[in-house]
Amino acid sequence: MKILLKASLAMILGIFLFSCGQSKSTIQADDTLDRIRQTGVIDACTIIQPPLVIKDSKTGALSGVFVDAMNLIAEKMNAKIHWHETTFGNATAELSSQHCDIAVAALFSTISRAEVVAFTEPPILYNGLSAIIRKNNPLALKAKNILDFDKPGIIVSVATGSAGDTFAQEVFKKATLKKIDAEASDVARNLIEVSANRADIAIFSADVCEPYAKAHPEVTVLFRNPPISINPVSWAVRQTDFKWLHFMETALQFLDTQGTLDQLEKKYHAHYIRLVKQYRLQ
Amino acid sequence: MKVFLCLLQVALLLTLVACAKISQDTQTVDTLDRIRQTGIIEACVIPEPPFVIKNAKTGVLSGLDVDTLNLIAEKINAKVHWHESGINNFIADVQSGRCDVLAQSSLFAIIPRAMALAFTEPPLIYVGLTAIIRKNDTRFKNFKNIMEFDRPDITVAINTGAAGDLWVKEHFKKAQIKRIDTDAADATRFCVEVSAGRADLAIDGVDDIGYYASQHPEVIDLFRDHPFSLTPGSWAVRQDDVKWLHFLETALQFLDTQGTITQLEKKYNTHLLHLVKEYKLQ
Repeated sequence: MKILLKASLAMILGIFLFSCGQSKSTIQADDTLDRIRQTGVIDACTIIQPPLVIKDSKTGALSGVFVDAMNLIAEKMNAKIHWHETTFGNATAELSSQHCDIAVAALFSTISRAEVVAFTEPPILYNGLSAIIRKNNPLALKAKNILDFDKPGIIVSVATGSAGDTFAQEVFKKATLKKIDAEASDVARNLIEVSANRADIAIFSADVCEPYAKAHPEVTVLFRNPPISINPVSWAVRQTDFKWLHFMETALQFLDTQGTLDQLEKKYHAHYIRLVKQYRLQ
Repeated sequence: MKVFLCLLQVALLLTLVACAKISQDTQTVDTLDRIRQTGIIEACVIPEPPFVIKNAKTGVLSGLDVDTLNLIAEKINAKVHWHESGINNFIADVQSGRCDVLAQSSLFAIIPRAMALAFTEPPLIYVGLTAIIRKNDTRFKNFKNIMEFDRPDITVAINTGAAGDLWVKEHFKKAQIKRIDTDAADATRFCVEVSAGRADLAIDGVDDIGYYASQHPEVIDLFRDHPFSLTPGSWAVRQDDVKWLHFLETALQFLDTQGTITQLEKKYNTHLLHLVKEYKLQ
């Protein structure tokens, strides 16, 4: 009887594991678009990074080029947005864990991030990586290439999970990387390490380095033009969320073609690198 | 033995539940596979020269989009079954499965429509907007912006449901709007309102307005060289028809790259707005 029981249990387990094994080879698609149609709510994660995402320090209200663009899309869908603040380090995890449906943030669509989330195509804009250094650092005048800083004894500050972090990990072999966990309220905290003389240079996106250097006269921006690298910036969704991804791509394409994205950049005095598009009658 | 049979029944039940769950999660339309088996593409179109031209005597269809889909069908050894649709029922026609594609590049890929259908990317054409006024209308000698016409004393004639209609709904708040229903035989009927002095301004795509202005010396085309708004146009399929959508995008990309789309436009003596693409040996 015991043998029979064991055999039957093994058989059950086998059948069930087989059925589960079948499911591994198939993709279970998300359907966020359908859920939004039913609930009228979009959960959007964002990262404060003026002028793309601006947070009013008194009211907490969000605005900026990306926030306004997403609000326009939601308006057309008769949907409301629940905004959630996140960081560069946590953005992809927030999507995977279904905490949000989309990351409306200045995420560089890097290959490593594309392993875990799907980015809207084509990129919304392009942003360069720059660096800041103290003006009194002798290297500030000598350095011509970012690799000039890859020396023992040099401390490079990066924000954990940011594109600067990925870049530094890939390129720097001898310098010491100092990873700073940024909070949603201050994603550029790694730049302070340079001002405070706890790091020699800090790497971050050009649009963050510029205003920081303006507000902190002790530092200057390196690799302003040309930047260390030009990176595509896109919004991200879950990889299996095909319909939602395609919808967002069409919506962004529409706003771009209509000139709405240009108007929003003007409204916020933003100046980003964009692909030159010319239209011609054939 | 009874225990064994009982457990076996439980196992089979669990397996069936698991299988049902899997099929529910992964159930997507596979039009491409069906076309491979049947050799038939069900396509909807809305007669609108030069995109879709219907011979009044024979009922035979031709035009840019008809020729384009016929070329694609030929490459996959399929035949196209054509169905006439309308501006008010094309979404239902595609969603209900009456047709696999709305092959109409003059269909605007606007955000509310993208909630219901998936549009091919990138857009096939762009429709730029312009406007006509009477040459002897001296009120607008020094105008600089289309928004200057949004005044309560101005009557704007537009083609119902066309690009100008969509734009005016969105942007004009004060002007009086006169919507004119046109048909394929006379798509510029609304422009006559300006010539006849029953409207001050007519707004629509550069192709229709430009043609009318070239035939009617009493009007002037205000934005011929610098359209004030662009709207993307694409074909549309069901949102969950991922493989078919991707196939069509690749096929259209191929025909575009090969210059076939340009040749078809020449064949139909058409001048549409396209993104300028330049290829260069690096």
